[in-house]
Amino acid sequence: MRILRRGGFLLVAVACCAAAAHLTLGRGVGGRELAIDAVRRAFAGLDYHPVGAPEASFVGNQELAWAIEWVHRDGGPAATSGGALLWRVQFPGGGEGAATPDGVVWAARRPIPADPGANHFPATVQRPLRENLARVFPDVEQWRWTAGQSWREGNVTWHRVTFTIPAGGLPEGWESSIEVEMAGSTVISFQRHTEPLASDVGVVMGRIAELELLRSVGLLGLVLVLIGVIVAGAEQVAFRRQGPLFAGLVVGAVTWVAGTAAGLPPWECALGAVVSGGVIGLLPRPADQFPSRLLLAAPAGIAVALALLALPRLVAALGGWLPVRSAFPPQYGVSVLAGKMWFPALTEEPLLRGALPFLAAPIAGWWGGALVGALVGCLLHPVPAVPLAASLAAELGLHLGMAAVARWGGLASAILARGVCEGLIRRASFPAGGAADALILGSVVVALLAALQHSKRRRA
Amino acid sequence: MRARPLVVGAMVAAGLLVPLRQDDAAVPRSPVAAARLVEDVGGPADLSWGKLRAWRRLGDGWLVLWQPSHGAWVLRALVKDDPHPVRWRLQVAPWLPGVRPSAPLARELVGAREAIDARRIERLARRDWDLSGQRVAGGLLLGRDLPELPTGTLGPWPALLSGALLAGALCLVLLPGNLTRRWTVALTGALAGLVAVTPSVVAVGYPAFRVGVRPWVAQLAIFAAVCLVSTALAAFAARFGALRDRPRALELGVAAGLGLVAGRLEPAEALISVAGLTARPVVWLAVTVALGYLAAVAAIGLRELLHPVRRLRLPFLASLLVAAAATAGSWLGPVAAALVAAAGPRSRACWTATTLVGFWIVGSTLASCAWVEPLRDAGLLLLGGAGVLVTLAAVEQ
Repeated sequence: MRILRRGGFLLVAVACCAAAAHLTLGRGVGGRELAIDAVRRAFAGLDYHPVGAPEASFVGNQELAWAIEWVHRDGGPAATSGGALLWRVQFPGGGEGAATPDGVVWAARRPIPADPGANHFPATVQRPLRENLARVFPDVEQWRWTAGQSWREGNVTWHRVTFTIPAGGLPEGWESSIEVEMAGSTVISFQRHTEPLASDVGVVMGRIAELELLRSVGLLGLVLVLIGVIVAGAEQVAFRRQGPLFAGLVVGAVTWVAGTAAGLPPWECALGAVVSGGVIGLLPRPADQFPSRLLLAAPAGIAVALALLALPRLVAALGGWLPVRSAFPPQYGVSVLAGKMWFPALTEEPLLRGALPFLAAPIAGWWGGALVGALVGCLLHPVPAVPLAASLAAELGLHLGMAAVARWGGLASAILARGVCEGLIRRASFPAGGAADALILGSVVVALLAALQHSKRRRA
Repeated sequence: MRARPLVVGAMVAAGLLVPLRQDDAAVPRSPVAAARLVEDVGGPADLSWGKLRAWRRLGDGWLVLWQPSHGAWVLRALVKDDPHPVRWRLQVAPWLPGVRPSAPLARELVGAREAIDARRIERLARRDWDLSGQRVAGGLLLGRDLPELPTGTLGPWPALLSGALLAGALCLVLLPGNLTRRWTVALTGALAGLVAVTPSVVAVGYPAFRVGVRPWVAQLAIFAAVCLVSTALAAFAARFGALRDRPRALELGVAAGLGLVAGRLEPAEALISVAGLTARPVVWLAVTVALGYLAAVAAIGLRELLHPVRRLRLPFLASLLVAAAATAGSWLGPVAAALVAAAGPRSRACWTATTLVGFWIVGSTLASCAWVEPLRDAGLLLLGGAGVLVTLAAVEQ
């Protein structure tokens, strides 16, 4: 029997790791080396050879990326075009540039040389400028001169010229331009710009504004639950009932660390810590009425993530649009990903799957409270969608999934499952890299090990 | 025995007739009439305004708001009680396309005869100009800036009420007494009524209507918020209940008189906005029962917190009431309800607090509105309420 049990656990563990690896490896934003090569080639075309190993950092333009996804909803995502996703490349000896993940150079700025070459009159600058740029952009002759200005600094004449360039790969109606700066006879910098069709960006910006408003209602719901927790906690103190205060302190501290890692403002970290610590430490073990089955956590988290990642295709098949990529974080890094995975898990799960069903149980039953929790939760992090209800339905699905995990696996399972699920969903918004992959796969392994340890302790 | 109805009636009449310092004159017109005034006087003629969506009382004027169903622009207007001039301001989404006018053309659009400071704002598909408070978006005249909505802090009185509310909830658990569920049922019914009429109440949710947000989403957000708060209040009442007792006519008479005085002394701006709704009686009923119940629980908590200074309780509460009359502003009604209910027996706190809140709403409406519909409704409620109190006094053993 024990062999069978162990075999079953191994089977689940292997399946979970395989599924998590499938959803993680290669899903980050790649093209780092390609971008560095593209920037190097561009500098070589400008007669500049940067020295040293460059630093590359990822930059995402959220509204532009979603607008491109929205326009290309029928033909699949093309969020890498238009400069929505860029690798910024900086060389230690001077010179920086940017390129898209598929190797299209987007911007470059080289140091000003001691002798920038012969000056040109504004009236005659166009030909030498085009000749200089032809080594970087072979199609420069097709560019249309839009605006130019010239000025003099010391002995050097500077020219700044804007060209309208063919908007290859961009949606219909979108425009692309490039701004070039030349000192003497040397091109110093260029920067491409995408000018999207206002109505396309309007759809995305409008949805973002609407979801911000709806999020404020979700926050109101969280505040009301928090008030309930304070009243229930005061009741526990008044009746001198001892809660697991130490566990609450530990969870609060971990939440604070997760919030700080995610780059959240201090007040939000502190509030999250108080919320999670208060629920765990003050309430009378809200989910203890159900047996804790931690083995459910990792598979459930992966299953919910799988469903949510498949949803954009389903919505597109029905004629709507749901972004493939979740929101870009303000900063990129493994610690930020860790914070983004575990902060919502540690704050929202105790509140919406622990405290709210516990408080609502005498009136509406556990499921009544969990349903209200799911409805509140679905307003907190939705992404723009057409129709708006698609996004809310996706979030509602996530929260109902977590409610089911909390009901059959306990609150700890829900927290672990949410952390795993958030990691898998957010993977595509972070740069590719072994550390981020290891973090997500490590979370799955930790959830499985916790299940193993818990099952051993229960048998003992 | 026969004098008691007369005494109760006299208390209500005194609350209505006692002379008070009145700095603010009553609001002469409803928000709908103010909106009609703007439509008559004229605002931006270049584009559709959409429907009248919301209003809010601000100082000595009405802020009224129109928005078309696509939500890409919002027209706000400030109509002072003295209607000259009506100021309006159009807000348009930053992505809305337009033209890129030069500074001289922008000055010409706003009709500036002399050179005024011009600040250029480049947008995605147009150019905006800020010309000393007058705005131009693309080629569209946006009008003048309106005063900002006040974002003041809540002050000490809501904090006092919150603390007392927490103490009252604990008292109802630790020292429950003879609990009844009738107040919970009444509160749930009143809140269910409020939820049912929410579609016609969204007009007072002025801040929810924003540029770029379609009106139906704003209305949905308001509806969701009302549902959440109502559910939370009903759950709170179901968890803690209220104490069972019969009302006493004289106590209710005092509460009614004080409520009328409180309402006339400091009319609440939110109540003036509510007076513009057609579903105002339902909102008044829900607010009366909800605020009355919460004030009663706070009163129970306050009473227990003052237990150590038992003999000084009444003077202390009276001094707090005087301080609240001077400083509580729009919070005077709920604060007075909690303080007056804390002065009486805790088992009748709900009756006292609800009566005071109800008459505070009536007093506030009578003192602050000068158009006919809310005056008619408030008058009917005043007569009905006073009649009930007098009848109660007459039949009381």
